[in-house]
Amino acid sequence: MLVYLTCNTIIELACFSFALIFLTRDKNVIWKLAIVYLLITCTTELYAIYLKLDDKENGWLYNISIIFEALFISGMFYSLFNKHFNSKPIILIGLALFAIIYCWEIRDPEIISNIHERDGGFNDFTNIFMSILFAVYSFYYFLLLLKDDEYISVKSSANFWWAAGTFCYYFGSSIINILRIIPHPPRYRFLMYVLPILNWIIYGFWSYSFICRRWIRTSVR
Amino acid sequence: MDKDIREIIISSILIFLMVPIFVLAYIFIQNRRKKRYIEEKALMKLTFESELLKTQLEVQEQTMQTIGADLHDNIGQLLSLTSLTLNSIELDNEAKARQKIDAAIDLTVRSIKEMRLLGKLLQGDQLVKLGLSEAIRYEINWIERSGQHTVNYLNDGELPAASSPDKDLVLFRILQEMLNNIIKHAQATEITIRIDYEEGYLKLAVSDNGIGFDVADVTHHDAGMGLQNIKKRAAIIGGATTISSVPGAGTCVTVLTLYP
Repeated sequence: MLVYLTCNTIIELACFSFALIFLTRDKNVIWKLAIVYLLITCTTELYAIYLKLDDKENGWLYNISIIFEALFISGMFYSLFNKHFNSKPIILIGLALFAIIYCWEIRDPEIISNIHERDGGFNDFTNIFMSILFAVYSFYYFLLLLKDDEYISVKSSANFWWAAGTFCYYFGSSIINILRIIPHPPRYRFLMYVLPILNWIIYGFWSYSFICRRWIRTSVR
Repeated sequence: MDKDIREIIISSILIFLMVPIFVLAYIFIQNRRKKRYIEEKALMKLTFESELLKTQLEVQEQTMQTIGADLHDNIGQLLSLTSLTLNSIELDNEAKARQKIDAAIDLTVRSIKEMRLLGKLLQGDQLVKLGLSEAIRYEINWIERSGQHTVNYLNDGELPAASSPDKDLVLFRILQEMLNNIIKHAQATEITIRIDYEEGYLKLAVSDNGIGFDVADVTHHDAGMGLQNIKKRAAIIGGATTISSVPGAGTCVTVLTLYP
């Protein structure tokens, strides 16, 4: 049983617990969906470990969960951007591009295997595109914050901490994802610590943002 | 070669991990600056509003003083004279009585006129709502009634239709302070008020032919409180004040501000 408690699953389960405690009564649907998304993430992670232990491929599982990831993160950015402008077009364009790359990679799985041996059939190109897209969204959100005449109370801004976690994770992981698809990818020992660190950053920041959501709700009331 | 690649990879990973930290730190700093700026702006607004309220009260006080003085010196005298004239009527002498009744009627009509003017003045800051130019004309009217000063009013450049009531009030109060200074200290016989409006800037200049003073000397002592007030008032509407004076050759005080 302890084999299921990895560095990643611990923080993901903790974040899911925070979401369950602090977002259950949240009135914003997108924020509430974080509970569902984190449940999917935890289930995927645990099932992937199970498959790995059983010596089976688990890339297909991540390829399914990436769809939920793209939908949830895009939905959150839609909600964040909407306070500043009508973000529907750019979010839909982002999702459309994601869908095109995803289908293209699923239909032609050899695209990367031509370069090097594929990592368990995982959609690497889609993942890289998604990382860059969300890093750009986060960066743009920060630009909007800087341009805005109003200042935010950073300490208690759920939106800020959510975007900060997302930015750190997707910006940082984009280089790792790119390294995975280059010919003869480096197999340095330290690389295996980077993604778990980024995971702790994103889920740590997200957990704090869920607490901030609760603060907002209780202080408004 | 392998060492070079390893260094490149480590550097790029470090850069990608460090950039978000710098971005977040930059946002923190900028957000704090924005907060400080907004707080300072709110404080300035509060100061402006409190100065405006003070100005309003001072304009009202000045109006009350003018009314008090006018009731005592003008209307009071007219009514006393009317009473004396009516008391001195001898009903036996009809021709003389008619003459005195006519004189009393004339005095009463003058009193009524004076009362009407006072009534308009009683509106206090309402006067400023008629426009800066109109308010200045009323002010000049009251100064000229004393007969001690000749006032020239020059208005160059049409003031914009969309005025700023707050700025008008402050400018009107500045003018009152300038005129008070002249009446109290300058021993002048001639006052010139000039308003120039050009390309969004309004220049209010008040000069006199009085005894003048040493600007450096006065502004360093308490005696320059009135002038300090003028400078402070002008500053709250973003205006600049210039005081030029030569002992024996009169004074000119100018306020230049964006308008409206």
